[in-house]
Amino acid sequence: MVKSKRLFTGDGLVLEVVNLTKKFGGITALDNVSMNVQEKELVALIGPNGSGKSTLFNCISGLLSPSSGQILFCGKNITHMPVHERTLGGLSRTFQLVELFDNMTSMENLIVTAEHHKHYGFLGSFLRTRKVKAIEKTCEEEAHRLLDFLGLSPLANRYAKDLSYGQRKLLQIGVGLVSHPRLLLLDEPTAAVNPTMIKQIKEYLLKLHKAGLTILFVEHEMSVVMDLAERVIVLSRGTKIADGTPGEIQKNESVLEAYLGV
Amino acid sequence: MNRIHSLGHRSIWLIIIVLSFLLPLALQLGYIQHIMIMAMVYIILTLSLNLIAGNTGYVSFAHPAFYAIGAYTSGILLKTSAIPFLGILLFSGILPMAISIALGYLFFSRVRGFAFAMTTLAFNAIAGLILSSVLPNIVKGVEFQGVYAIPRATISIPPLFTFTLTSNIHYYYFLLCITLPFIGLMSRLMSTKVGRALTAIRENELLAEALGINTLNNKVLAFAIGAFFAGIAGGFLAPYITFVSPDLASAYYWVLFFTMLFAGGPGTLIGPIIGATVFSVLPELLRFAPGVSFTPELRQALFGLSLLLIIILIPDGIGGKIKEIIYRRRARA
Repeated sequence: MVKSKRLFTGDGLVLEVVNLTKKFGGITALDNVSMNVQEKELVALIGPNGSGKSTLFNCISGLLSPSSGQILFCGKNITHMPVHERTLGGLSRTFQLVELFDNMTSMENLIVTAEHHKHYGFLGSFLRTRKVKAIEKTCEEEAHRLLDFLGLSPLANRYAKDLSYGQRKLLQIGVGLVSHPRLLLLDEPTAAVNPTMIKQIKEYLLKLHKAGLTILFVEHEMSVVMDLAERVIVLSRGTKIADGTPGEIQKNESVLEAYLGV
Repeated sequence: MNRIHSLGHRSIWLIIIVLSFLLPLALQLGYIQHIMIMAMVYIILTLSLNLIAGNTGYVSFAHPAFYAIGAYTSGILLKTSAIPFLGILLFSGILPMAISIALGYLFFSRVRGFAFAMTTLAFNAIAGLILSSVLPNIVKGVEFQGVYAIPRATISIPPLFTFTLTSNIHYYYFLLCITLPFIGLMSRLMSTKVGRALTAIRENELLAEALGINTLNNKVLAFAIGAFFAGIAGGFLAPYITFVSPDLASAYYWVLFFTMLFAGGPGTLIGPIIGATVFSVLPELLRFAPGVSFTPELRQALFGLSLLLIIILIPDGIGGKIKEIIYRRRARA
């Protein structure tokens, strides 16, 4: 059996953000934010525009370095770990504006991700040893399975740039999944997508949640948040103002104030 | 797995290989053999540049420097040492590779995209200056105009045979024995994990990193392999031409390499081979044009003009067009 690269094996708390602050010059984008995600939880992160959701996401995935505070992933401090090492450790993300390898096929997009999560070096891959052949076959099978799951199989050999926006969104989720993450970060998975596709993406996320995947997602579409999330974290002006079930959040006064300005 | 870039047409490759072995026998003119030898030198240079500039998407102007460093290394060692030529040739590749690894970690860890191109341009200028002005003062046998009277290469496997390459045909077959495996190597490399990582970096570096690809190491690897083979090409050139000059590191050469690369199609395998061949043969044909004195300046101007026209008219090159046709057919299936 081929083992994948996995740095962390903690249980319970998958993600723990402790007193995180991020300043850009004089502006404080995140102010002392603490939050966590439990194993197998499906958590939504919401907030008005400019509330710091994307900054928090980028700090967690490593694209931004926080000014102070800590980020623990499965019990391990990853605050200053390089992006690719976090990903290899089981932290996977998608981007709000779809990011894919445009001039690679759907299949290649998945394979290039999958194979970088397997243990084998340059020489082995060059000499194509029996072990490497087996790994490449596994990657290919995994990619096929994901394309099947997302209904993208007929587009396996299409360049990513030739897919529709919704299909690109789906493929991006696939790319996020192919590394078997312990935590999947989704940045607005349903933004700018038609209602049919929104319904479809919701179904996929529920399926993944039922299969035991831990998911943290940023979302603007309230119906999606309320239907999917087990827990909702609300940011406003860089601080966390609420953390609770969708029902609690809907009744929370500071949340209403932040959104409606009343 | 998809290997569109390798153009999987074995029969075409077989024809190319057979022709490359037979052609110089049919065309016994030394001049034509010389053109074919230089075409192969440029195939190695263009394909190795392609690795970093085409496949990885990082334009590097340092390739002429690596070519020149390889040529100087080989020329100096042939003149002054008793090291067997195969060893010298290997070292002509290893030295530029070592330099490129150092430069790679220095540049890539700090700058991206355009800024990287500028750092390599600066390095190329400095390298040219060192070869022309510093080296003659510290290394015996190096003149300000270059290294003269480089002895011919002698290939020896001690108990078995010793053979000095003297005629063009000798150099042709010797280089063919390097070029063909080199093309195979490049083809193979692009269908490995590293090859796909390089393409991923070209397509979207940020995403590649976010997906767990160590972009720094992969970029340095591509840069280093490219420099190694540029050095090998230079190392071959020295005993073949028996003279190397600091001009090898001049702007003339990166204009030439980029013309060949862009005409052929960056990021493909067959493209740079076609580009290098066409632009090795074409200027020689122009020699026969009546009433034109074919000066190096005119040559460079023509290359520059071609590069301009190619980038405007066929930005993906010939190889890019072929790749697109294959893709369209495959996507429909």
